[in-house]
Amino acid sequence: MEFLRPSTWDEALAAKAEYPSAVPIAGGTDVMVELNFDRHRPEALIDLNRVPELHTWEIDDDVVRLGASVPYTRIIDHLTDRLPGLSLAAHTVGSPQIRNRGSVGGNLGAASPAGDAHPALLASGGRVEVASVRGTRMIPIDDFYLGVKRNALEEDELILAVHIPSATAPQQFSKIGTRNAMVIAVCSFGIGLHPETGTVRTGIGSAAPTPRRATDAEEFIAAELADAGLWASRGELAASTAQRFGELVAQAASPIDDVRGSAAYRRHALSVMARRTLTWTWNEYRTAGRAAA
Amino acid sequence: MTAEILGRGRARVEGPAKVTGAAKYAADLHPSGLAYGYLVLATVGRGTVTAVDAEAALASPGVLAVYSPFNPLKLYGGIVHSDQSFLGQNWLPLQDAEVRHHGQIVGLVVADTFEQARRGAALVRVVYDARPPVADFAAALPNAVSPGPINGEPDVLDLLAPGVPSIEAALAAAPVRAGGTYTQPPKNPVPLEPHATVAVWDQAGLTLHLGTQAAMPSALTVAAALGQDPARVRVLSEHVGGGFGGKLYTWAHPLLTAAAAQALGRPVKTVITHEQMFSVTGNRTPVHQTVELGASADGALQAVKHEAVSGLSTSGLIFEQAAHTTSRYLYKAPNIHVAQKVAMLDAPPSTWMRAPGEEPGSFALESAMDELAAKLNLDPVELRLRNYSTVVPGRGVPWSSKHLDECYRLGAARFGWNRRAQRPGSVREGDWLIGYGMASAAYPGNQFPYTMAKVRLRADGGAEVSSATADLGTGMRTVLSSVVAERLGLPGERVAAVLGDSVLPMNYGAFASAGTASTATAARAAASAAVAQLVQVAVQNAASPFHGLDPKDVVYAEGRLTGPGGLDAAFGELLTRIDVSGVEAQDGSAPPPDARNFAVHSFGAHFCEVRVHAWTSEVRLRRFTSVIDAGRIVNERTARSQIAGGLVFGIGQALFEGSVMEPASGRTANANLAEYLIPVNADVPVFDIQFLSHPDTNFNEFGARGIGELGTVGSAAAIANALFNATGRRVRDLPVTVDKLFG
Repeated sequence: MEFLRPSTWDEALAAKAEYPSAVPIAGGTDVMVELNFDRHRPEALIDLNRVPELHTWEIDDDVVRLGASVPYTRIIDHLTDRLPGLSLAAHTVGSPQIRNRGSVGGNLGAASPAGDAHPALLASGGRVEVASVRGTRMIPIDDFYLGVKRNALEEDELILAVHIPSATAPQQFSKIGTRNAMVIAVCSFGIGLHPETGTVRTGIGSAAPTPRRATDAEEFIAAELADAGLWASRGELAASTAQRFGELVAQAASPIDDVRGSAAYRRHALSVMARRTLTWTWNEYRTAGRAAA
Repeated sequence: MTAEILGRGRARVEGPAKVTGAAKYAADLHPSGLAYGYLVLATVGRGTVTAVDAEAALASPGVLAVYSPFNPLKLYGGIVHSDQSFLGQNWLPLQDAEVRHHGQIVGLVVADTFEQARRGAALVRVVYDARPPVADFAAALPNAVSPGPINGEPDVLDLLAPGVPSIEAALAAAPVRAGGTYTQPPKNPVPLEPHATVAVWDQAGLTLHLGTQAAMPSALTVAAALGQDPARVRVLSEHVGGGFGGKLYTWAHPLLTAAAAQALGRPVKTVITHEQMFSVTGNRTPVHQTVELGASADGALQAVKHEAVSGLSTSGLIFEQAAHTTSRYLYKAPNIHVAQKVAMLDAPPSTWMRAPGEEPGSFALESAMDELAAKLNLDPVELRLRNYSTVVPGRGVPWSSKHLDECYRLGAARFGWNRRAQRPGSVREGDWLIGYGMASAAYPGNQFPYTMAKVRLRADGGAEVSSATADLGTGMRTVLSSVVAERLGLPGERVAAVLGDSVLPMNYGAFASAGTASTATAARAAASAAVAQLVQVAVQNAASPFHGLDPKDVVYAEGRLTGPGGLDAAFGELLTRIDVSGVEAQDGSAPPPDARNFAVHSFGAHFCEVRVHAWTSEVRLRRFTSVIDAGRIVNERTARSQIAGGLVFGIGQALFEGSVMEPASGRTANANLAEYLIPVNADVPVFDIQFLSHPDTNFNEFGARGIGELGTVGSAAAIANALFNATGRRVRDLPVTVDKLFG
C-alpha cells in the first residue's frame, strides 16, 4: 500500500489524480477502522494532515467556510453560535479523543447514513466545496449523498471545505444510541428554522440508505406556519401540528431492522424526535422574539 | 498508631505506577532479540484443515517461521483437566487438523517485527473441508443433555416436602403463581489489557510473562504441555489489566508462543487483538431459563422450580450453573426443584466469567420474585423477608454468618424504598417514567486449601509479604500490605507486597472471590510466624542484647522487641546490629470450615432507580444503593471499587452486553469493543455502597469473606425490576434494548 503525504493542496490533488482509487485519510477515525477490520485494502492512502487550509475556517458574512479536517472539538469550542445544530451533533460524536480527530470532511467522505454531522448539514443547508486537478466545484448538500456510503465525488476529487449558512434561528439535533455515549446512532434527526425564507429544513440519520431530508414534512410545516402567520406573530404551535410533522418525518424514513434497533422503533423514535425538536426550536424562536421585543 | 490500617480507605499501593504508565504489563516487555508471533485463525466454523500454503508468508520479509497443523510445534497431550491443570480448552493447538470453532488457532507466524508477523499471517492460505457448525443456541436447546452432577448434587434435584409427588404438584396446589422464560446471550470478559505473553528461554528454563489470574497453575499447565520439569517454568505476571475470569485458565497462544521461542532460540511475544480475544480466549455461555414460583396468598413460597439450559462449547469446559447456584438455597420453600442441562455448541471455549452461574441465575430468580410480588400486590422487600432462609434447604445447616435481612432493611432505608409506587408506570417526571427495583445477591464464601504466604522482616526496618496470587485490579497488593502491617504494627508503606510470580509461596491465584479469605489469612499467619522467628533469632544470636533470654520474655509490638530490664530495639536496628539481613517465615491459611457445619455465602441487597423516556424508551440509571454483608472489610476503598465494578458488570448484563454469533458460520459478528457494547461512564450512575460489619469468624479467624463477584449477582435483576416498575413492561430477554422496552 502506498502512503502519500502531500504537504500542499495542489500536491494532494495531483496525488488523487494519479491514484484515483487512493483513500484520503485525515483524523483516521473511520478509515483506520475499515483498514483494521480488513474491509478495505486500498492501493494507496493520501494523508491530508499536512495540508494547512483543511484545518482552518473562515466566517464571511452569513456563511461559515469550514475546512474539511477541522475537528469536531473545534466546532464545539468556536462555532457553536453560528452552527448550533452541527455543534450539538458534534457533541454526540464518539469520545473526546475521537472528537479531537474526527471531522465533517471525514463524515462526508465516508457518507455513512449514520454519520452524525449529516442531519445537521441537511437541516442548515450548505454546499460542499470539492476540487480536483480539473478545477473546483460546489455540490449542494442535498445532492451530495447518492447511496449507502456513496457520495457525489468524482474519483479524482477531494473535499476541501463545507460552506454552511450561519444560523438565523434556532436549530436542534437529536440522537438515540444503544448506550449513552460512544455509539453509532440508532437514528438521529436534525432541524433548522429559516425564517428569512419561511422554511424549516430537516435531516434524517441512520434510517435510510442515505442521510435524507423529510421533504413532505418540511412542506407541511412551512405551509402551516405561513397560513397562520406564525413567523411574524411568533405564536404558539398547535400540538397537533407538531404531531403531524413527526408523523411525516417518520414516513420519510426507510429504516431496516439491524443489530442496533428495529425498523419499527426507528420510525417511532424519529416521529418523537421530530415532534420534540420542532417544539423546542419553535419555542426558542418565540422566546427570542419576545426578548427582542 | 496503626490500629486503623484495616478498614480505612487506603489508596491502592500500585496506583501511582498504573496512572503514570510506570507499571509494566506483559505486552510492555521487550527482551533483547525479541521476535513477534501473530495467530492465524480459522475462517470456518467446523471442519478440517486440508492444506496450508505458507510459501508466500515464508517469503515475506522478516518471517522466521510459519507453524500449522502440518508444521506443528510439539505439545504434549494427556492433560486431564483437574486442579493441577488450568488448560482453558480440551484440545491442544496445531496437534491435529480439526477445526472445532470459528476463529480457533490454525497457525502461528513468527517474524522479526509485529508488522511482519501480521503481514505474514495475512499471506498464509488455509484450505478447509468445511462442515456446518452447531452454532445456533436456540436451535440446539431441544438437544440439550445432562451435564452430570453439579456441586456434588444431581443435575436434576428435587427437594420436596413429604407426600408431595412432584414439583408440578406443588405448583398446582399453590394459589398464586408467577415466573417465565429468561434468556441471555453469550458474553465475553473483554478486559482492556489484551491477553499478552512473552516467552524467554535460558539455561534455567522458561520464563513466561503472561497476564494471568493464576501464575502457579499457569506454570504447571505450560510445563505439562511442553513436556518440561515444572521447576524449569516460571510465570511472571506483575500487573494484570483486568481478567474477570478470562485470565484464569491458560489458553492456547501462550503454549505455542513458548514452544516457538524454544524452537527458534529467541524470545517471542504474542499479543492477541481484541477481535481474537473473542475466539481464542473464553466466554460466558448463553443461558435459557424457566422459573416458576408458587406461593400462598400471604406470599409464603410453596414451590420454586428453576430449570436452566446453558450452552457448552465442544472445546469445553465451563457452563453457567444457573439454578443450582441460586434457587437451590436463596429462599425458604418446602418444595424446590432445580435442573441444569447443557446444549453443545461449536463455539469458542466457554469459561468462568465473573459470578458464573449466579449472574444468569439471579437475573431469572430475582425477576420472577419481582413478578410474584406484583401478582401478590406485595412489596418486593417484604416478599423476600417472608421467605428468608436461615438454614440451607434440604441440608438443614445454618450459614456461618448471614445478615441479608439487615441488607434489605438498611438498603431500603438508605435508598428511600418507601417512596416506591407499587403500581407500575405511575410515577412520571416530565417526559420520564421513574421506576424503583431491587434484588438480592448471594455468592459463595470460598477459601482455597493450602494457600501459603511468606513474610520477611528486613534489616532496613521494612517488611515484605509474598504469595503467588495476582492483583488484576482487585486491590490484593494493598490488602496484603495492610493485613501484614496491622499484624506487625507498622505503617502500611513499610510493608511491600509481592505477587504475580509462580515461584512465590503456593497460591492457586485470584478467582472465585477467594483472594482475601485465602491469602490474607495466610499472610497474617506468616506475619505471626515471622515475629516468632525474629524472637528466636534475638535470643539465639550471641551479638543480640536479647541473647539467652527465654523467648516468652521477649515481646514484639509495633516494630520493636522489648525485654526485661528495659531492653528495647526496633527490629531493623536489632537485625543490623547482629548482622542479619532479614528473618522470614512461611505459613498457610487455616482450612476452610467443615461444610457439614456451615454454609458460607456473602450477601447483598441492590436497590436501583431508573428513568425511562416515555416517548423513546431510552433508559437512564439514576442511582444504585447496595448494602453488602461480606464479613470484615479489609480496605473499604478497594472493596468499594470491587462492588462498583461488579455493579457495572450487572449494568452491562442488563442493558448492553451480548456476543452475536452467526448461526450459519459460528462467527462472532461483533467481536470488537465498538459493537460489543459495555457500559461507558455516561451509563453508570452514582453508587451508594454500604458495608455491614459482621466479621465471619466461623469462616476464618480474620472474619473476611469475598466481594469480587457479589456486585454482579442480582444487579441486572434490580435494573429489570426497576424498568418494570417504571413502565409496566417486563423484559425477560437480555440485554434490555430500547426496542424491546418499546415493544
